[in-house]
Amino acid sequence: MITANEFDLVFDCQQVFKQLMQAMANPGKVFSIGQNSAKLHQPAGSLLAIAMTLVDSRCRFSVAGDDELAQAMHEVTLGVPTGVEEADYIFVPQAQDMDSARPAILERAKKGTLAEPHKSAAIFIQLDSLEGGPEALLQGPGVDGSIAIRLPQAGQRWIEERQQMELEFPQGLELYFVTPDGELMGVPRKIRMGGCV
Amino acid sequence: MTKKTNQTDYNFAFLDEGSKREIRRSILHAIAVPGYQVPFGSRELPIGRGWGTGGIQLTMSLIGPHDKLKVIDQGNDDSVNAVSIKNLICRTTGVETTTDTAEADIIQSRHRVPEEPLREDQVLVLQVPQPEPLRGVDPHEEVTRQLHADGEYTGIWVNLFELLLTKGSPFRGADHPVMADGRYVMNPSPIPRYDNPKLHQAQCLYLFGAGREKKIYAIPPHTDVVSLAFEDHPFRQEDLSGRKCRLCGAENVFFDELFDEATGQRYYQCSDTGYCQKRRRQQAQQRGEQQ
Repeated sequence: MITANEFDLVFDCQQVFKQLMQAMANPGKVFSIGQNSAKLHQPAGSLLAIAMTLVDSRCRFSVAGDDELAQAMHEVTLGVPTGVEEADYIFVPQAQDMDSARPAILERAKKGTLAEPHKSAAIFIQLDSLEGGPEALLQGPGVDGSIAIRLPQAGQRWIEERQQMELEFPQGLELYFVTPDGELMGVPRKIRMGGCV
Repeated sequence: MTKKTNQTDYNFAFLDEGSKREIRRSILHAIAVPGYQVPFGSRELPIGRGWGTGGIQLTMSLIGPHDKLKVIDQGNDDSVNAVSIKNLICRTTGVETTTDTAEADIIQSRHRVPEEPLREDQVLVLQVPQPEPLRGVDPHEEVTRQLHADGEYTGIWVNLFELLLTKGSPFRGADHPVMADGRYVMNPSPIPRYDNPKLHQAQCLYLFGAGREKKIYAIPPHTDVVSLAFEDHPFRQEDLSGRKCRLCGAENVFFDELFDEATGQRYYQCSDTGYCQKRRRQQAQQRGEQQ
């Protein structure tokens, strides 16, 4: 793999993974990969750090609306760039500007099957912030009762629309929200979002 | 204790980064679907399959140089299996180990959940010999996979009913199956029934690794885990009433039973040796303060 910076493929990837794992296990809570992603000195450093942690030549990935980032990810991970339908990991670098593309991504992404729900996609959505939106409640495994989040509307709409698809569990999609500063929040497939507190 | 590492001979944590990535991807899927067994390409290790290789691969994929590790085997920090696993992990990572549950970041265990409640920042890795609760129902993987897909668990209920008819109780001594988050029946690994309720709405993340059977599954924190039982035979833990640890005097914990052939006497002592030692240290400290 090519790395022209101080991001360590062993130790930084381990730390990024641990945060991804905690984010998946504790939906709605905010974790940070900022110390690691900052080493990449790129505006999409958070997404790149995640790709370097999870993607390799045995994975297919898709980057929505940013061919340059897709090329950079391919160069550092050797992952196979592909369409949304076949992607194991989907990266959405500019979620604020992707309102029109969101339904198609959610519709076309792999959901797994009832027998093999792990053959599904995880979507990494980059937002400017994980705060500032209306208050909403998340409930489900990993959450102690319920947890209030204040994701911006552009983020909440991903959760809402995934919910409206009413996929039969265990089929589904994992959503992760990240910021350029490395804040990270996971919302697994079984998490339901309710109205305001 | 910190062990000397052979960093020049091996990658950090023994496994190559490609293997770790695959295991990490599987872990994320496993957490997202509680109780579902995610298949993975179990790697060769310098330890035979069936000796904790699933747990080791999970630990190796999680662990960082600043983590503190605890390894227990049947609750014991000093058994051959626990010490061998600790040696392997320490020599390839240089991490510190501890016997104190509260100090550990990652706890790898065979057949026990520690007595002390675990926190949200801790991960308990359990070694699993047989991850498939439906293997006794059908020997074919493709059939059991479809049964899980359909949520068709009649077979395992019939098995438990047979157990009730033949043994008088529907409960297995260890590895009694549970329902994870109301969807998947899963084997909690061969922990005693005493430990089953610790999985329910726990604070920590539980990861289960079966190296020989090549499966990873998980229970995230704050998830419903219900032991299978019948309405007229509600779930019961082992009856440990009236027993007391001969070393620390603890009651209401899981015990090892010792038998003295010479005197014919039975003794009990805490199965969780780290917990027992901690209690004895505290007791000695209190005695010292009183003097």
